[in-house]
Amino acid sequence: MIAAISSLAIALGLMIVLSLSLNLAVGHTGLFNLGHAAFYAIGAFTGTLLMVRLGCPWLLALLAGGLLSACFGYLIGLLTLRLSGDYFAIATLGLAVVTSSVLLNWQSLTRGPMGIPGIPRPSIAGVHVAADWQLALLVAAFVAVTWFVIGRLTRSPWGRLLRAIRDDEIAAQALGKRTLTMKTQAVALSAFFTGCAGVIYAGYLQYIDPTIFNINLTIAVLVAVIFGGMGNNAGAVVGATLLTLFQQMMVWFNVPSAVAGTLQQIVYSILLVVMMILRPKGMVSEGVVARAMRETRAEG
Amino acid sequence: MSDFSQVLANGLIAGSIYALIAVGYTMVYGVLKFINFAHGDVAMAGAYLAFFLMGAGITHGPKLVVVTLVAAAACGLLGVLIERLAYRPLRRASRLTPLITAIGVSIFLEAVVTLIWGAQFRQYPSPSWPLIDVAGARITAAEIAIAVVAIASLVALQWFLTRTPLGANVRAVADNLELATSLGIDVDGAITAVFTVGSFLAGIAGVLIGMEINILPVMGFSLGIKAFAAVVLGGIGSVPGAVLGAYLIGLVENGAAYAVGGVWKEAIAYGLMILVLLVRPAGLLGTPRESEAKL
Amino acid sequence: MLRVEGVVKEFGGLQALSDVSFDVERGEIVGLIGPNGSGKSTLFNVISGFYKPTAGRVIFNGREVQGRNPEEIAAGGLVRTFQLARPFASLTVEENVMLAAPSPGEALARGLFGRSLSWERREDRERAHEVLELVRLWEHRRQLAGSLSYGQSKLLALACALMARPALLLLDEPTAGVNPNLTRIIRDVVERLNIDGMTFLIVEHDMLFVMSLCRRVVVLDHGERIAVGTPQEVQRDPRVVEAYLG
Repeated sequence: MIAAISSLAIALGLMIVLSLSLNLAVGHTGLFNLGHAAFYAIGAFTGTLLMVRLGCPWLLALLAGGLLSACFGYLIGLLTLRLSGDYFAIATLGLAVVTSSVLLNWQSLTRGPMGIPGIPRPSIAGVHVAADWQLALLVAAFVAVTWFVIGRLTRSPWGRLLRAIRDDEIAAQALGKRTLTMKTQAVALSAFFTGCAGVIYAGYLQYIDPTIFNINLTIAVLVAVIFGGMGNNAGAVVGATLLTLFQQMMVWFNVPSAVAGTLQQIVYSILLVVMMILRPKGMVSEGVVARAMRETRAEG
Repeated sequence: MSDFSQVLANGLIAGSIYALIAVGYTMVYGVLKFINFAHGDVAMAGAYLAFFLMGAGITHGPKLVVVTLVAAAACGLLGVLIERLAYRPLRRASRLTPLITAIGVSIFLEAVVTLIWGAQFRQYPSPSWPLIDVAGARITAAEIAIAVVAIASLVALQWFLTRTPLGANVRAVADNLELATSLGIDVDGAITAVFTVGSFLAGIAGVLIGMEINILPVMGFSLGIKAFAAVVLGGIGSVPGAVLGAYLIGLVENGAAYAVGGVWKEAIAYGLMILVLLVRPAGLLGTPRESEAKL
Repeated sequence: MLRVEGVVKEFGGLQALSDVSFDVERGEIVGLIGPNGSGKSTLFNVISGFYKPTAGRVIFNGREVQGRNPEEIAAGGLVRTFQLARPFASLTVEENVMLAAPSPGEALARGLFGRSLSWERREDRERAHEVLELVRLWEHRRQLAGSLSYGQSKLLALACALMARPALLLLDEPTAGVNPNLTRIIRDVVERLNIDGMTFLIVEHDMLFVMSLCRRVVVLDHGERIAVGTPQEVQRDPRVVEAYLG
């Protein structure tokens, strides 16, 4: 029983982090980064290789995974953010596939489709986080930190400028804002949290291979983010929660995993099309809480 | 030397197939100014439709022609259906929203095909086609048929665009939507025609692919990206550009595969697309998308 | 302060601007007029960096700025507004204006590590209050900018441009589609700011507006400068008369 709850909590926590970070790029800045899964993969593989091949301590591997992902995000940003929105989306899609391909075929580094087993559970300052429920607590702490940091950033003038850029990049440039720099920062930060999540995920599964991180994962997170409302952090959490529950339902109903995958694809794709047609700004409208928060800020 | 001929032949054959898909892509972009990412999956649907129809053991001869036409016609209908349901409501939206919708449609098609036929490879019931040696390259008669059919289709398309009134409408709408509308041209009709013709050709491409390789639901995605790469390379919105780009992609893909191994084929095609986007988004034959026009 | 020298702008085969030259001195209000399609907006786009000129130079405060990024030019003190107002729709009126402040603490490091109380400077908030009062939008400060009327969003655009404290402000048809009341407000705002030292280059169709405010006027037709002088001189210039009538 505890094991089931723990694994659900871990899946939920990781999905929340993925959604919050994608929301930063997609929701707040309007950048449809379809390569999000690549950040997850790079974080996971970086952390894994450091721990398994070099015996690196977990905390260091976590940070390295996040930072390398962030660097990758930064580079991608520099290359592709000059492109207009739709070309940017396709370019990131292509880059994600290229990354996947490289991870799959660079067998000397990643063992390709055979994957890397034997990834240790996290170990922090001598405390071995071995049991699932302990890992769930760690994930919860990670989610709390992510929520706090991203929340803070999106409430700050920096976050406000991102939303302005989303609304009208040209008007922002006309006011002297360095929009390319800002967009790149958004993508890099989005990548950082996702990369860290990747390291945690690897520690949970204790095995990874490149096929885990694919376009379907990105689409799922995208659906969660769009459903939750573009730029609405609380909404992204709602979206992530609904998504995770949906995925879990298939496990509970013993749906065979091949069918489950296809079923998810069908649901996500229909949702995506419907949302784009009906309410591209998202289903969960900016909550009462969010509006109240804004008014208090303007007051103080 | 025969290695070179082989790569060349493979590249041209692949290019022919990509060309059939790329022209549909570029025509839709020409009239609606958005990237119809689901187009590759329409071709994939065509491949599977043909597979289904071939269940009766039809392999070549006139019956194969019938299967191809039926599958292509069904794809034409599919394309129009998609346009009506998913894209038409978004006519006024930015370029990005319909692209996301198109990605949704693409995934939907892939999932439906997977549900019906499963995720593993499927193969057309095929006889052994005779192998022919052309200038040092070994090609099957099927591959020659592919090239011939593709070129014939492209010629037919060119005739449609330049010699028929509907084709003239399409070109007018692609050139200047507002002007065409104010001149009373049936814009909706032109758009429907573009989707019908483009998807029809994609359906043919799908069948041709099935004759060449084993088919998979995920191949729609890969075809879509390669066709998009071809379109961008040749100049988005230009039909001759799309054809040129498609042959270039086919050649580069096969040349690189020969040089560094087939495993990298996909990555190279995608890499080429990214390179073109970054270096010369206007492509070889296109005019730069005036980003200044956004003002 | 601003020198436009021999600016040429071609689009494909079309010549939108041919050899346009003129100066704007510090503290002046200069009008830029001409029939529709004469290239006024194109010229604005070139000056503010949104277009690269095909040939020619734009010199601002002694530095060549043609071809520079628009954000660099704006940050250097040359701010422009747009013909169709472009507010940030999902931000409130107040947020729109605060964002326009010269150094609004938008650095990432500030967001991560700075104290949230120090995110916005008191003097910026006070100026935002002033500016919004000036354009009569203070009561609407909590409203989402996307819900403003057309006239109100033009005022907001003006407010943001003012908040940026530019040395030179390019106004693109500030009174287009705006009712006479608001036009008067805009006119007063421009005059007050000019007295305080701001330089203006204004594209306008409203002749009364131009005649009453502008010390000098530059006239474009078909991408060429056909006249420059005081409003009275320009009105009497036969070439100008022909351009508008012919």
